[in-house]
Amino acid sequence: MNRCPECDVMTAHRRCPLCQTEVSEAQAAIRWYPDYDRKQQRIRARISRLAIFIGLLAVLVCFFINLIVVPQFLWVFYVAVAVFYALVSLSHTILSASHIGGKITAQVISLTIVLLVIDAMSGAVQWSVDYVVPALIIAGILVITIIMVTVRLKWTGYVSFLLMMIGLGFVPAVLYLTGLATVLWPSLVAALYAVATFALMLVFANQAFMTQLGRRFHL
Amino acid sequence: MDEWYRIDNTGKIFHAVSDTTNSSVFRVAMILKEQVDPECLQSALDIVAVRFPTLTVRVRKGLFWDFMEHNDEQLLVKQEVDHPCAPIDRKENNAYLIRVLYYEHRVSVEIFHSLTDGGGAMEFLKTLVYQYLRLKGNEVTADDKVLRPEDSPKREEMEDSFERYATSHSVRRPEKRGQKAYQIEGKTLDPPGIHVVHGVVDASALNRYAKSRGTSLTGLLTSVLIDVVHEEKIRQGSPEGNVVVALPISLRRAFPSETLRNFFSVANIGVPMDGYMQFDEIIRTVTEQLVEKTDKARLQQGINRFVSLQSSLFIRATPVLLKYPIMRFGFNQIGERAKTMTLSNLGNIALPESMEPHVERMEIILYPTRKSPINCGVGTLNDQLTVTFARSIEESTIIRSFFRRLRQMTGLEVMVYSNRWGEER
Repeated sequence: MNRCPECDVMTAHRRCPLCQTEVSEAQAAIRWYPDYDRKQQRIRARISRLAIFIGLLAVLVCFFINLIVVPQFLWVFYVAVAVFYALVSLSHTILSASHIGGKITAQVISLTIVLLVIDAMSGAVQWSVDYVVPALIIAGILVITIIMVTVRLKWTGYVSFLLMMIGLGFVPAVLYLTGLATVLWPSLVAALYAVATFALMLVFANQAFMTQLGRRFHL
Repeated sequence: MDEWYRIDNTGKIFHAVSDTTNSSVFRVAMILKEQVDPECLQSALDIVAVRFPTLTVRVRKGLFWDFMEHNDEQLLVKQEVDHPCAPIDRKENNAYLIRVLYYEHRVSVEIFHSLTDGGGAMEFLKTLVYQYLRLKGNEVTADDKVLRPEDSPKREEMEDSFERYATSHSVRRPEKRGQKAYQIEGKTLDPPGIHVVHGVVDASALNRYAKSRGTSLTGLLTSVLIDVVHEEKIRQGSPEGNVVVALPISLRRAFPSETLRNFFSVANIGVPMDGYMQFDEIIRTVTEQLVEKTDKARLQQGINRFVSLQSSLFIRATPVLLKYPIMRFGFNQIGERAKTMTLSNLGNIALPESMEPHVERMEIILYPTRKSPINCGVGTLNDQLTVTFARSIEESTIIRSFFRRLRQMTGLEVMVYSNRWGEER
């Protein structure tokens, strides 16, 4: 232990932790905390910010090129949604420690946004809302259901995501009713598939599923 | 086992407000006399985890409120590698909201505040260290000061004591929005993280000194803190707001609860000072406010208001998607805005005599937040009081002034050490 002449406190560190004055030439014999790798910590802190920065820069550069080359056709929106999707996939689906159910839900929602923008940009022929989005939602429900059956004992962890996807299953029907979608059957299939999944859960996992519903909807 | 628990009244707030700048993870730790044996600690944890079912849970998402479910995975002890109170990564931690760490002589328990407060966390740590010492072959006894690992968890330990002690559910008038307090600002540490500095003092001697100045230990430490923060405020050209220190008050002292879940209130102690103020005058104001704000009737009012607010059907029936941003806004605009920093004193922790020779002292680390980037935790064990400052900013003048002032004023020896996060080695 050495005394810091500035702060008048005792310390085993080489430098006073309060004022950084050197109080000893030798390294501290007592190890209070691990040595942190500053470089690695910095990289870890900056990696997501760097990804967002690069993404935004790419969109900005494309925007200027777009304005200069073909200002009458704003293809930059294709780039923007592609960058958005890449960022979601990188930061949430690949790098984050989120629940797989959450990753699937995020993929369905972000892909829906991407498809809607591409559809709107390419003349709004409505292939996205009419066919692809309902199919995507059905696929999402199906994947989560398969995982729930496969993981067996841990299936309860997927209940909220399944409920969320079942809720999303009614979105195409709402789009049809509001006139945004024009083909009925895919929307109807998505809604029916959502209802069927919910009913199947009730039939095959009656008690446990009801318990989960009670917990997830408690006030 | 398929138990589930509603998140308690206070826990819901931490659940809503935690983010990258506010981990809502605090630490209680004991420094042992010998190097920690990780295998033995794991064996102790395997036994103790079952004794504390409300702490060994995972959080599930609900539409109106999230909730906690029993977690069947093994809770693993880990060697400390990151800074204290780092956000808990559920994937790396088998979905637990609690982590048990070891480093050299230290056993640390870091807990997401939704699960429990300092009192509950301390009970867990005491039982863990008790079991660890037993497995290491030491003759230790619980002596009613430690919850025995072999006992079954009691219903009272799992209750939401806010609900139990609320005498009225109809206090609709929310608490008056406090005045904006002076807020510490600074440059975020690079890399972002938490720097901690601990100061160890002789507890009995400091307590005697506090009594000689007509106050309690908490009163003295709060007064010194207010004085040094005020000095810093003047140095910055006296920006708006009084210096206000938020003191978490364990409600277990006023209400005979055995709960291991959150059961605390917060008393904001502020001293209006425009320029210089005698230290004795600061002590007098702080002590008066401490007595007034920890009065049982006042604490009861707080419990009633808190429970009433959350029992409103309108609030309960609002989906979390909307409720959490509103709670976050309320936390920042009412709670965080009205205080400069938090000082949490867990008091003198009583260990069985047979355990005392094996334990050196304890540490309490309170996570900083964006609006309260320096926080302070205090704990006493084996007559050694440890004051710990945790900061997320580079500026450390207040901490330096605090320890210098404490040494100068009391003449007591202060031993300091830190984790040196963000410092060049």
